[in-house]
Amino acid sequence: MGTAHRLDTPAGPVGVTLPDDAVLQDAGAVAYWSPDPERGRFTVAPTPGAGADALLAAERGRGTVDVETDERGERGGVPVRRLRYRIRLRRDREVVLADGGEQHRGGTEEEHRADVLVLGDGADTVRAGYAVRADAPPDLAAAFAAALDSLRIGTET
Amino acid sequence: MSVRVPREPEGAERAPAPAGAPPLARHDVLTLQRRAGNRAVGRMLARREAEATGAPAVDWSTQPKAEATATETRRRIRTDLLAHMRASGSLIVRNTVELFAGNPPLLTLEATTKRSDSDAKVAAGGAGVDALNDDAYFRGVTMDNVHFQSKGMIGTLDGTTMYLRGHDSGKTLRTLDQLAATVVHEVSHFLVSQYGELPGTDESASSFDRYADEFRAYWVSDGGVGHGLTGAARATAIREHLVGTAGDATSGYADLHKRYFKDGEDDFKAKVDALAGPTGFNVANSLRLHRLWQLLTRKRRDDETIGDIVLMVSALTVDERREAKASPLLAKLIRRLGDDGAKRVRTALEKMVGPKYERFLAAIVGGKADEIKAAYADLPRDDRAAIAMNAGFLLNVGRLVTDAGARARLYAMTTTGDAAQYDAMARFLDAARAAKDLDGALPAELDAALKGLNERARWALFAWEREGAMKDYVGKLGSGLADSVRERLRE
Repeated sequence: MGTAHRLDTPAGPVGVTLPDDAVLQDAGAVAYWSPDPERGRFTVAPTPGAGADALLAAERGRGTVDVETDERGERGGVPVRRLRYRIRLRRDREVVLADGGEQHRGGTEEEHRADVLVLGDGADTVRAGYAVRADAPPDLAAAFAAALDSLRIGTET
Repeated sequence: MSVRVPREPEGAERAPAPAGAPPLARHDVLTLQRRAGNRAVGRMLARREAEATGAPAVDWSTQPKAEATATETRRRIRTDLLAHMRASGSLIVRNTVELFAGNPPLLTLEATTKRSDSDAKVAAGGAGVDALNDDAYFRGVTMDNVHFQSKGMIGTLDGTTMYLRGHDSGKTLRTLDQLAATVVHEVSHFLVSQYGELPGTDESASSFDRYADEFRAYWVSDGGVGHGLTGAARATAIREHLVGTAGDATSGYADLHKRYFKDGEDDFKAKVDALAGPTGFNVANSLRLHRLWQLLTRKRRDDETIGDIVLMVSALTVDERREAKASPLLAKLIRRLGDDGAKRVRTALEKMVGPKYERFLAAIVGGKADEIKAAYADLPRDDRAAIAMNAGFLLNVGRLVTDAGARARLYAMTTTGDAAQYDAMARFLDAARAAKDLDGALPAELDAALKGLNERARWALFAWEREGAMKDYVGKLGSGLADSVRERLRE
């Protein structure tokens, strides 16, 4: 069950099925869904010129990365590379102007699990997948995993 | 380039809107209007300030504009803000700015600015980056680095560099008072982290240590949460800011709110409720107390180090010395110095903390000769002995007294232990002023005044006021006469 969404991306059409009450938001250049943004999110984002290797390099620049899966293949006529990894990082402590005044956030170690499909290549690269905090409730991770499993790419849509 | 999100999903009928987004109530709308109005006014004022000063408007829409904004932010925080803080009426603000002075300073200020390509950087940002809540920033004045932080970020501390944005996300400049309050608050966090007294603050955003760390930073800052309140009322205001209120899940700091109002967290709640004042060492952001801590944590513990520590103790203000004496953190470090070293440091901490010494310092600040001499005469013998030739006392006088003649009179008295030397130095300075620009033979008044000065008072004038009273008084005499006076002072 759920509601199917179709996205036009540089790597071709991408379909995703989200829970019926889910709102797929337009966050800058990113299609974004999360019932709990503090703990994780499912996104589809164009990353021109920045494929899986660039993603891993950027992540390694920010924290400690353990790659669990790195698979290459093709789906719906689109080259696909699937990366599953964990990253431990420390967000800088920061002062943020939020409703009601200043708040201070970050400054603690975080661990995230990511499962990402890197679609296409070169200027047409798109990333679709999720990242969820390791301490997030299992239901949240399962909801994101279901969204990723529902992806239809290129001619699959 | 972006992913196009269709307005409506394809396929099946749209489900009803989620319950999590209720329509705005009237008071919410009014609040939003007010805020939008304030932002508009702020932007207008910022434009006017920019026009008046020739500074570029806040803008990060292109790389050159973002870099121009960063350059102006750097200028404003390093020049305007530091000067503003130095001139502040608030002790903690003046203390805090001292951490950014010196060569090299303990801390430095740098600009951070939103990148012109923030959206693209966030899209490619990786697992820890949230497209809804994060932006990409650069640090310094060249857009050659990327740091992901929250959209409303106005400052952050990395190592010993404090990065300030200088404006909010609506491009409204933050006032110098607002920036100063942020700096004071962040320095409190820096010091807590240095001393390791609240280790849980770096491990969990819902820990009691994080609560105590934030509580302290708000407590010590002027003008923010709990401003104008004292004691329990101030503690309550800060607590409500941090944990929010039971009926509003979005109030307070998210992690602290959740834990405080979670069933079964009675122990955490009790500790939070019981916290009535700031925790830990150096709550006034004092560079002197920090330097003392640094000396005490040195691995070398020889006589020279102990001497440095004792000297640093003597440079503390009365309140700082009291805090140092009462600090469990310092007590532990002092014990490590060994019996003799610890005894010397403890003895130094005992000195110059009494109410009579405080009255003496207050009289110095007041600047009235009779009150200064009376307060000095009233000092315990130990305190009079402790401040004679004491570098720390000299440092404090240098900080409290800007008039060179006043300092020279004080040094004459405290170095000799004789209040009469205060007047003797005053007579000498008056005679020197009266002889300004004269040359040739020594005037009788000046000769008599020199005869009245004790040898130590003359030495103190030479040693400690070479660039002050010597220059302002003796240096103003004709060159021949000045040489004669210098000769007499050396005798």
